[in-house]
Amino acid sequence: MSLALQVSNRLILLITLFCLSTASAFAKCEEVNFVSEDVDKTEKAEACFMSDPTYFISRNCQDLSCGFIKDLKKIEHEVEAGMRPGAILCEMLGGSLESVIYSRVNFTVRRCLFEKDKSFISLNLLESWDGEKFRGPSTPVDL
Amino acid sequence: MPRAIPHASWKFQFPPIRPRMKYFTLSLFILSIAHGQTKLEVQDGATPFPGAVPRMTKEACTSVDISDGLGPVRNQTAGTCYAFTAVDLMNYNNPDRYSALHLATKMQQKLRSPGKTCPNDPEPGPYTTFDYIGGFHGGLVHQSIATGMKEGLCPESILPSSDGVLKKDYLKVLAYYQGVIGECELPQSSKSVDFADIREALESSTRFSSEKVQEELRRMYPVLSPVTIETLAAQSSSSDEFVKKLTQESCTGQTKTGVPPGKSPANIKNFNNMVRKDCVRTFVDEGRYQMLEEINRALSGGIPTAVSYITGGLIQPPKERSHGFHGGIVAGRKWIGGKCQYLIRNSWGPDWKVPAGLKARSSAKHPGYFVATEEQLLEHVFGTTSIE
Repeated sequence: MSLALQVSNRLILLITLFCLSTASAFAKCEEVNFVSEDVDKTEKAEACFMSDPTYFISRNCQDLSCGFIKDLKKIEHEVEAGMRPGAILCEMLGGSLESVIYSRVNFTVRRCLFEKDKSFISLNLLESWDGEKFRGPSTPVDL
Repeated sequence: MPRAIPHASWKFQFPPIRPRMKYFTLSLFILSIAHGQTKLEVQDGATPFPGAVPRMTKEACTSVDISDGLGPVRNQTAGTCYAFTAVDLMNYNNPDRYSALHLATKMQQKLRSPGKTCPNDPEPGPYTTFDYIGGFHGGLVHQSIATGMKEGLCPESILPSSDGVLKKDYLKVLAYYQGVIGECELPQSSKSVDFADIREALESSTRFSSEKVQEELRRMYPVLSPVTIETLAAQSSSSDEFVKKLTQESCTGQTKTGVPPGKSPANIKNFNNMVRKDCVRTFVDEGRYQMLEEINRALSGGIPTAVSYITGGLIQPPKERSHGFHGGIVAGRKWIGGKCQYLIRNSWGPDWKVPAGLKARSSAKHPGYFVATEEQLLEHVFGTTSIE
């Protein structure tokens, strides 16, 4: 293989790696109708989804720059007994819980809402926060 | 990834955890029974009881799935996993679907802190029902089952158990507008929830007349009329009394024996593997294998087992000084990837999944369940209960 070809291949590899490392964790952003199961309300909103449709965040937060993400980076919460961790985090961040159904799933999903800037995040995504980024879902086991 | 934990044991003094959690911790240890010889001191959340050696073989790990008899996964939200777990066992293959909320309310009225025996123990005193609705108090599964069997329980259709946080918020706001509690008692989350409809209904001449309020009340207390709820609120001198009256009124004449067909309290089998001595909690090494034998024996006989376990590192990120006690039901088993893996029912709703980077993984077939290996169970479970 010529030296030029080797350099070219390495460059392509580097560019690919760079693109992968900077790509958003969210596979797709789209407008979704969230139908609340708590109150009589249907809200149309832009949400960004991971490959698992129960992991989503409002579009204004996909770059992790919105208000509650900044708070999330600061708080240190304890592991509590029994209660769903996302519900505790949501309350600590000053959000409110809401059960919603939407076109991508056929069951109720919980999200945390922030009235101030109309941002939101699903509890599943919130629970996958590792202090720096959202880890997303684990690979499911066939059982 | 969970951080590495040095294998050498170190003494675990009670951390400055939230007072509500201490009640559970204290009651758990006081009632614990020790078995076996070797004692390990509890490590932190990532691997609380390290050094487990899996013993199951492929032949012994036959495929079992008894989740169908447990019904859909519910959402406990508040710290009442013990009640949901206990009722799940009682409801298994039982046409009478009991209310976990009713059992938790009964247990909450019985739970009291016995007083300070260690530096960080809570002051002695009773719980309140409102604490239970939004709180983190734990309880013991076998005691809860015995109470349910002895005193009877209301069906789930009379007293729905899910939506703890919303229920707490709603009732607190309702109590606030009734003048039963002050603003400072309102939960943080309720302040950002739109309760304008409640205000509108309560400030109008016909209280509870708002359609939205009535709809919500019907969901929470389906057999009570808005007029009855308003009367009970007026008769209550505290938010705690208000909730007790709502529960009592709903369940009057509706309570069933609470004993699953063909069972009695004598059928409750309980095993606990953690003890507290001199304010240090310890785990009995050999006992964990006995617990796993109990789980496997029950599964082979088509019986679910309730497990008490430490969530840190397993289904929640580990924290240096707090563990996260929780309860669930072992509902299946299968040999996958050279390991015996177990299907465990959680009570955080069907949408809940295990995040990446933790030991356990989500179930591909059962929403709201997770899967843990034999080794992970040995390292995190500290108690089992079943109705044999």
